[in-house]
Amino acid sequence: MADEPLASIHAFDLRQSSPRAILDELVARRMQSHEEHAVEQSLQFKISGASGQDFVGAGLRGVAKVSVEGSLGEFCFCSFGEGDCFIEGKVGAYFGHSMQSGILIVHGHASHSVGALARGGTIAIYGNASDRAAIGMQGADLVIRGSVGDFAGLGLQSGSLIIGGNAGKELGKGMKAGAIYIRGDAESISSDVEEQRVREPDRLKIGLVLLKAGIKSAGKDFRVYRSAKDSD
Amino acid sequence: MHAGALDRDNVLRLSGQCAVNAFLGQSLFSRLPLDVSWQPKERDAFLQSLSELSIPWVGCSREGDASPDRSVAGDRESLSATRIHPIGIDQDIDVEQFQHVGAIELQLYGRPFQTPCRSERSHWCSNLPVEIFQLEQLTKKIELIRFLAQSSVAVGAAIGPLQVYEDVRFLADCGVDYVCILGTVFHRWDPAGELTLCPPESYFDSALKAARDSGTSVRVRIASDLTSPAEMHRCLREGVHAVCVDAYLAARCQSQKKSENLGSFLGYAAPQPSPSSWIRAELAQLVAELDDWNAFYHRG
Repeated sequence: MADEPLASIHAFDLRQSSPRAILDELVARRMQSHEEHAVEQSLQFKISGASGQDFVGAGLRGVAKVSVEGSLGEFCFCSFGEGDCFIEGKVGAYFGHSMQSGILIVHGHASHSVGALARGGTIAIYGNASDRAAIGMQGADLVIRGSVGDFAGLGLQSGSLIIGGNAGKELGKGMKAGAIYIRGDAESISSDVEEQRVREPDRLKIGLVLLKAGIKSAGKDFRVYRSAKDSD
Repeated sequence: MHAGALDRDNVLRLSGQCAVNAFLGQSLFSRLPLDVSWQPKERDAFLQSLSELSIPWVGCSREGDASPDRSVAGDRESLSATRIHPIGIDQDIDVEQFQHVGAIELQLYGRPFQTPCRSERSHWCSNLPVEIFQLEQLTKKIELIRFLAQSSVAVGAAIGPLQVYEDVRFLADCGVDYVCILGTVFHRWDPAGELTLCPPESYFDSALKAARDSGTSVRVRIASDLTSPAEMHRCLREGVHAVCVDAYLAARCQSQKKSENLGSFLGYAAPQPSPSSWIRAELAQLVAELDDWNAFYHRG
């Protein structure tokens, strides 16, 4: 009989172990799977006791589901890929930095620079996000259900930033490509971007990303901003 | 604590430290694989030569690219171990790229996202990563890189040659293992492609003084226009941790071309040395001459 997929849940209590232990466990599981020729398709990590530790979940790849109870510090879930992650708490600066693929959902607020340089996947923040959300983002989709601070979409290269609430100063400064969708108002909008007519592909895009982000919304009332130099 | 009491974390930390020390033991390096466009075969041959002589090189290894990790059979591990993985100021951190590297080097210069520069030289002005606005954040980013690389690699930073004292001090405080000063760079693989941004004497002493004043173990590496083993050895003796071989090779590249064009009609029929063979021979000679200088100075 062929090897059957193995399902396993690993629990980590950050009051007793370090963020490093999570990554070490993943490496150990991969080595074990390789030696046993087992196909592990549903590896799950359950992380509890989070209280502002940095680097939690950084470097995690190929874990089907990660759930976190508590709040996270800086650079958490950096370079994350190939899985779904749910966080019941707030997240610190640079959350989802360099994310490659998968979904990160945060049921709280985010500090500055969420989604910085993220290359793929979807990040959803159900609360508000501070300054410089989606800075230098290179292909990922970032959804902020609440409002964002100043310089949202700073140097955005590609991908989309969807803002359900309001934005601070200089929205879209230095943006090269991609799109910013906003439902509320912005304190000021950078001259590097211009408002464009929302077309059907935009509505589809908003609907699809919100669906992935687990937000039930028809995606109406959004305005779209693109780079003033972008020919599209 | 006796050796048997070492836990897994300590074993990992100590083995990582050994790997870092092994990398930091090398006194030569090359930036040509990063700075110059190569034909895949030439690049592989060049990297093979560097690898055989354990000379670290800065460059990428990408899927589908003419990467040495995949195209050169047999020596994959040894080739990778000499690789210094560069992270540009606008580049994401891909943890998969951290496998089997000797070091990770932040390239702290240039304009982000291919924004045109006013001049060729201005491209090499020092700059922070796009998402970093305070030095504390850079410190944290360096910590993150160490975390992702499981502490088993050295983390360095390459900077332009201006305001070197201040930059080295700041980077030392941020926790890098070494700082590489880019005084001379290449945009083409011959002497005409050389771009000297500053003569070494203008930053050499400042860099070493900054390293000493920092009170840390930060090391200084220089990429300058050194073309003789004697000059290189002098720099190493005075406290530079490693020197770049690119200017040395570029100077020999020209002499190789001259020797191929002596004008004899028989010269066309004679077998020409392949680039990889003369590069390897030149590098081997350089290593031997540096060893010789070392032996001379340590005899007393």
